[in-house]
Amino acid sequence: MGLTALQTGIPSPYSKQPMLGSPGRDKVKSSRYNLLIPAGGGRTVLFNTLYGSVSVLEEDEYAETTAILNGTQPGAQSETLYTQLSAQKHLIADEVNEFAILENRKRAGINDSNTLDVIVLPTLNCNFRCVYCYEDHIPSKMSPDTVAALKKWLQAEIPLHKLVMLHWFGGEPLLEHDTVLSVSRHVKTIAERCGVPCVLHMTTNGYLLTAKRAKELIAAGIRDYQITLDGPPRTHDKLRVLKSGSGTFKRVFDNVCILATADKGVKISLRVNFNHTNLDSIPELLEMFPLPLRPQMRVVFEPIFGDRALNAICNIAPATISGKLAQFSEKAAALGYDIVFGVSAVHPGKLVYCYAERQNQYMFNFDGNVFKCSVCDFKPEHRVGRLGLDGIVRKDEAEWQKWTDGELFALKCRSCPYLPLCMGGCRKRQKDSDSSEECALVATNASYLLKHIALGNLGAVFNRV
Amino acid sequence: MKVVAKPVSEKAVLQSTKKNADPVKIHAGIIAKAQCCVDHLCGCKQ
Repeated sequence: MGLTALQTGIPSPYSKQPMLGSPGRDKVKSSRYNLLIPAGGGRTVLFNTLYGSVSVLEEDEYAETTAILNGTQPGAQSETLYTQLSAQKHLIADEVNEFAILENRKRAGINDSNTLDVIVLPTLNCNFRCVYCYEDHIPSKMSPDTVAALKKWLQAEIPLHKLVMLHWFGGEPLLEHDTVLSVSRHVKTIAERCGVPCVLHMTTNGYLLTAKRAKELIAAGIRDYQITLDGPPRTHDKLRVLKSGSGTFKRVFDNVCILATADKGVKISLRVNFNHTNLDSIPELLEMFPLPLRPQMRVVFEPIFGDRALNAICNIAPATISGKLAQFSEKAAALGYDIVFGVSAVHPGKLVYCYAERQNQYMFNFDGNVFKCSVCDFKPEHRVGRLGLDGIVRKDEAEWQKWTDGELFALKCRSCPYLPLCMGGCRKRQKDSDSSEECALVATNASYLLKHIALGNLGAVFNRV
Repeated sequence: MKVVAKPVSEKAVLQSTKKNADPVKIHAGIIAKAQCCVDHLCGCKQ
């Protein structure tokens, strides 16, 4: 995977970085996390991935700035530029160990006990047969004993944290609507009693989200949803179909509108999975939703992975994907959707790559087996723990530690200037990969910023500065 | 040189993990950062 943003002033972490300064000044060096990105019109964006600082250089400032950052012009710099670069942390004190800052961030993220992150799969079954789905949809449901054990575990665990996040996933969770309602109400009640804020979220295909169910789910505290529409009917109905092969667009679209209308506090991540068959249809979908509902909807574009015939990256040039994503994001914002893109998508200070690395994150399958990541076969032999009927989670320490312990960053990542943004990439991919050379940063399941990096077109993020 | 975004302090970066962290601010931070696909609960096949 190509990471092609123009870099300069990024010495190897294994060599001595140049020290700059003149008599009377403290010794300084260039941050190893500076990136120089051409922005058009002769301007250049100077982006620091560790501190999140973004500066724009005019054409006539470029040569002097890079000379200062590269240490090739010590003692002759413009005082103003030197001061600005220091204030923006593009220049830092020589004694600062930036890699140690990253290690500290990651340890803090892994061991953070303030947030409890719980994902529940009440079934692996699904009423859809999306052509790109990676799951085996077996008939399955949580037994009453497992539901009771989960509630018991939640009752003991929630008071130990400051925020609880409960995500419903599957399979299609609404096939087990009663379990979803029962456990959600339980979490809401305990959290309110303990004064712990809770965020309840559901990833659903939306087909069973009728007006009655929407009302019940909202009352149970579930106000955040992720629902997928893969373009307008002509594309969606070829990708996301029922078991029978019938299309699902109209019903899902109507249900999304019903859900958003039912409560103005509801937030919906409208997800669009795309490849070469539907990429260009996305603007058509964006035009379809009624204007008043759009502020409640955050649009997320995700490239389809998997088989070569369907894989977005295999069938569309990465730079084309990046360019279109930037264009569609701009359009979505103009149409009134809640969308974060461009420089506003730059949130420095990521602590871990994803939730699976966190000690206080648990994914409960319908059968009580505990996992860390949703992208797996959910076979018992791959579990990291098990929920007992006594409401206690017994971890398989060796398996659990594969997600949370060990080297914080792979050797190959340590000199990467993008490391503060990805924090080491996908742990599952690292675990499963035979290649020590492969970058674990993937263009899917990632923020706007990371997607553009993975697609080799970071410039698209800064095209509006 | 035009400043578009100032550097974030390390104290601010780590605040959500501190013992004295404000739950409301932790919540707000999670929402602000959730421009990705609500972490990665998704349909990707890796």
